[in-house]
Amino acid sequence: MVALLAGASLLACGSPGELSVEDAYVVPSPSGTGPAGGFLVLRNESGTMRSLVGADSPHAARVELHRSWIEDGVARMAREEAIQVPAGTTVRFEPGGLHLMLFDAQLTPGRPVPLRLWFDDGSLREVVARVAADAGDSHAGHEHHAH
Amino acid sequence: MALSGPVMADTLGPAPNQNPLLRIGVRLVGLLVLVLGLWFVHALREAVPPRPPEVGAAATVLPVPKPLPEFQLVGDTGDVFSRDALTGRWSFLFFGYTHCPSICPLTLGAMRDLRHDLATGEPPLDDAQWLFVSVDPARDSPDTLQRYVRHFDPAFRGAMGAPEQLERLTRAVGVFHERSPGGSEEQYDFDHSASILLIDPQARLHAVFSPPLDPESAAEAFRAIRRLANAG
Repeated sequence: MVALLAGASLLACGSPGELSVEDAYVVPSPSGTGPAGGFLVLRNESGTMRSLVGADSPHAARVELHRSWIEDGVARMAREEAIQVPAGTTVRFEPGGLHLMLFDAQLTPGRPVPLRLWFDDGSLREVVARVAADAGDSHAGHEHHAH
Repeated sequence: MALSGPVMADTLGPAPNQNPLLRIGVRLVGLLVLVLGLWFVHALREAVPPRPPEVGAAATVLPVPKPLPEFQLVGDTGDVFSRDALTGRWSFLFFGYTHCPSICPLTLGAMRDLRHDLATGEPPLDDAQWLFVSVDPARDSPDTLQRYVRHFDPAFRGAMGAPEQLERLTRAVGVFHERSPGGSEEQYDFDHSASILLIDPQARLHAVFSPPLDPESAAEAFRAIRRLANAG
């Protein structure tokens, strides 16, 4: 696990004071029929706003950016063209909120998945995401996220 | 004052018409007490919230449980899933679809935690059934539903059916579901109610758990609902 994270951070790191990608993991479709969900943390320590504009993976036919939210008791979802990460802020992709959708994903539990993330300045971050059994895996105990 | 009692009894007893003013006064006081009493009871009723306080905020209990209509869906093993399947035990019902990558897994994970909390609490409660009803009959099948729900908990069951049968159930219980804007022929999503419905053993909608489900407070609410149902 430590080695995996170390590997991920080696690949993820830009220079200090820039945008970094942390704690990336993907969750296979429980039935094997739907898209897999991808989750991560974007930390922008640079002085300018950055936007995530796309992603891909050799393990998926297509990767899209999506947002889920609950409005008046109704779960809604929409595709996003870009996710803004203002200077000095952290944006979390987490179950129930922002997520990557990996279509036709070929995932094996325990086998890390390379992900490439494209940003509006033309830069690219490559990360290795772990494959979690389900979305609950990332939540130690009863951790609640209010939105 | 100590003297007035026997005096009154004396005067009212043998000769009731002797002091009409006093009699009217007593009657007026009686009437006043009655009116004040009724007003007090009314005010007390107004002040009491409709939700039994011990249920808490996790669940909204219907003032009068709502009987479900007849409907015919199919269970994830190909069995008939009708109103009868919801009779005789408490049921937790959630509506979603297996292509849902975010809210549905999150909710089913919370339902698994809720079931665990109930089964390991005091007293242990593990007699309810847990159902996931698909709002996507075009893409889901009993088989994919089964794999989807069992992934979270082997006790969970799936159900689905023809759109008009699904509609009979969802309309009766006020569950919204609609294809999300955008998407393509094969790839689309649903906007759908994220509430969990509690159906009582008489197959009536009894309470609604609002999203996001907090397993701990939902477990307390369910225990309180059971106690109230047994007491009533």
